Amino acid sequence: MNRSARESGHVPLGFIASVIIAVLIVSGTLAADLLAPYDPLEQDVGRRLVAPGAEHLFGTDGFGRDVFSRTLHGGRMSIIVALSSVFAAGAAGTAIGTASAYAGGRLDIVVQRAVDLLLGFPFLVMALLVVVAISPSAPAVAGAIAISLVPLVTRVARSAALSVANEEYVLVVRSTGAGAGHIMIRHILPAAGPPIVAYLATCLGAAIAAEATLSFLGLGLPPPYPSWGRMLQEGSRAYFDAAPWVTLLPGLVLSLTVVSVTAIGDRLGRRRVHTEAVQCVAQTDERP
Amino acid sequence: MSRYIARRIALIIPTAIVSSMVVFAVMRVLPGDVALAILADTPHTVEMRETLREELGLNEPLFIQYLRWIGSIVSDELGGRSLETGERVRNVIAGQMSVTALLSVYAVLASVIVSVPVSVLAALRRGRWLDNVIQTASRIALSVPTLFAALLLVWLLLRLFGWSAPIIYSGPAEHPREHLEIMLWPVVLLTLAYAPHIVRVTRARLLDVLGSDYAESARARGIPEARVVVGHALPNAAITVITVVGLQLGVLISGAIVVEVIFGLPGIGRGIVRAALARDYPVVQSSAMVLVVLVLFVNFAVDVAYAGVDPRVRYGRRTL
Repeated sequence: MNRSARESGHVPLGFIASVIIAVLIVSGTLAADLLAPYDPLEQDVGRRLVAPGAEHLFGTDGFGRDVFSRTLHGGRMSIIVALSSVFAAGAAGTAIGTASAYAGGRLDIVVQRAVDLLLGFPFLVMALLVVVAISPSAPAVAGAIAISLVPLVTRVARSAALSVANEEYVLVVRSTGAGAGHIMIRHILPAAGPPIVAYLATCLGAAIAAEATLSFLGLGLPPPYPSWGRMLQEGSRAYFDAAPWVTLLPGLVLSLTVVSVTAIGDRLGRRRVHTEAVQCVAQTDERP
Repeated sequence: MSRYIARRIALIIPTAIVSSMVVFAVMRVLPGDVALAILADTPHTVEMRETLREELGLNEPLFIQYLRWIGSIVSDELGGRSLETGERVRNVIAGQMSVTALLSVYAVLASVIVSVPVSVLAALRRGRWLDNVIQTASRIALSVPTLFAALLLVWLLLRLFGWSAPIIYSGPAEHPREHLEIMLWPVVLLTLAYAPHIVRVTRARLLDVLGSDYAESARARGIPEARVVVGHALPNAAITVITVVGLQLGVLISGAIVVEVIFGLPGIGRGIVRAALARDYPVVQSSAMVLVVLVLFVNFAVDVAYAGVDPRVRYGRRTL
């Protein structure tokens, strides 16, 4: 997107495409029960490794299961896990970041140090530690991703809240003796919220990718229920050469989802750069 | 300068200690029973679980367990022994470390070599199609999951050249050719994931500098734009490149884990995944610690490089 497009408020084609792709995939996976032409778990040994065609849109895997149906069902699990982790990390990170910015002083310093420290943990390493500590299950994976995201969200929320916390209108409300909770929720968050939400969309892309990666590594959701990551694992291990569609088509859907969701988050974040409140957020440019 | 370095080293130690507490806390304080997790796949009785807890020292106070682990890291045992193989964790990690370190160093070098000229090109052609292509491509490359990129590449290499990753790893000293062959594609993948971060930030920084008064005065002296970019703006943007390299190192490590698994590189990333699958928690815990310390040290190196490039840093707070 170039400068003139941004200034005129013109919505670029890539953004529209991203929204359409994301909406299609997310609604498709959430409605997997209605849309999937086959049972994702039903095996049909007579129809093993059928190439993609009219009958099986994405072909079948080594057990004769329909890959398209499995992609829809697997996507539902991946997206629900990612959404709940981003929701949890968003709530925790926003609360900590806002409180830290508002309170300032020693609490703020402690929070900043803690965030710096936790950001030294590579995303996947932290998630891996948590998954090993709690045995693999959907809540464990969601928790692992959430814990890895919290420091990132906290940092963004803190800088967004910080730029608002010393605005005059906040000081006015403060001088009327309003409580800290009231000020943060009713006066700071409405102004600091949008960039945080935009950042969470970017995080959602990362969370979907992280869930797939953990499942691929065998540390995600336990079988037999399909998830994108495990479909990639099964497909690439057993018959990558003979039936690449089992791996590559779900992988393509996964990538389209992540790229489009991330692009939406980027765009939402960038649109508000001109409002001063968010400039700090835009400058960090930190990726989960 | 040496005082600055000393100060930075003094900062690493408490950070490393607190990080070790975090690693330990995640493994032990979170709900979940290590003994239960180890036995999860085998039929077992309550007594067996209790015996295992006793053997692993899990019944002792957490504080004692933590001190014992730290003691084992500081002494030459490094994290005790693997539950799976009984091998010393130190030996397990030592072999893997060089692979991951080489992979990361190659990937950082390749990323810088690729991304600096690309950023210059984008900045020179700002707003034109080439800039748009570079920006769009880097935005997509940045968000495509490394997992998919790696699998796609493996498949393409297999189809087009019949090439698959060598099963045996070769070190750079003994077999430079084989080493290059096994490292090339993993490095390409990591570069693909890492370089876009550098391009984004460096391009933005270059544009900032190009709008500054001193770039304007260079132009006013009749210096051609290309020389203004390369001679005036680029040295200034070097600081940004160094910062991103440090800041996004986590991306590189996470990517390295995936790539090592897919290409069968015997590095610490593949090691930690294997250990995690086997519930070999002494290895997981110590490998995680080693990776975190690696990040700490690279950030230390970044800070020193930073201070070398920008003298202001040595005396005050670091600013972007």
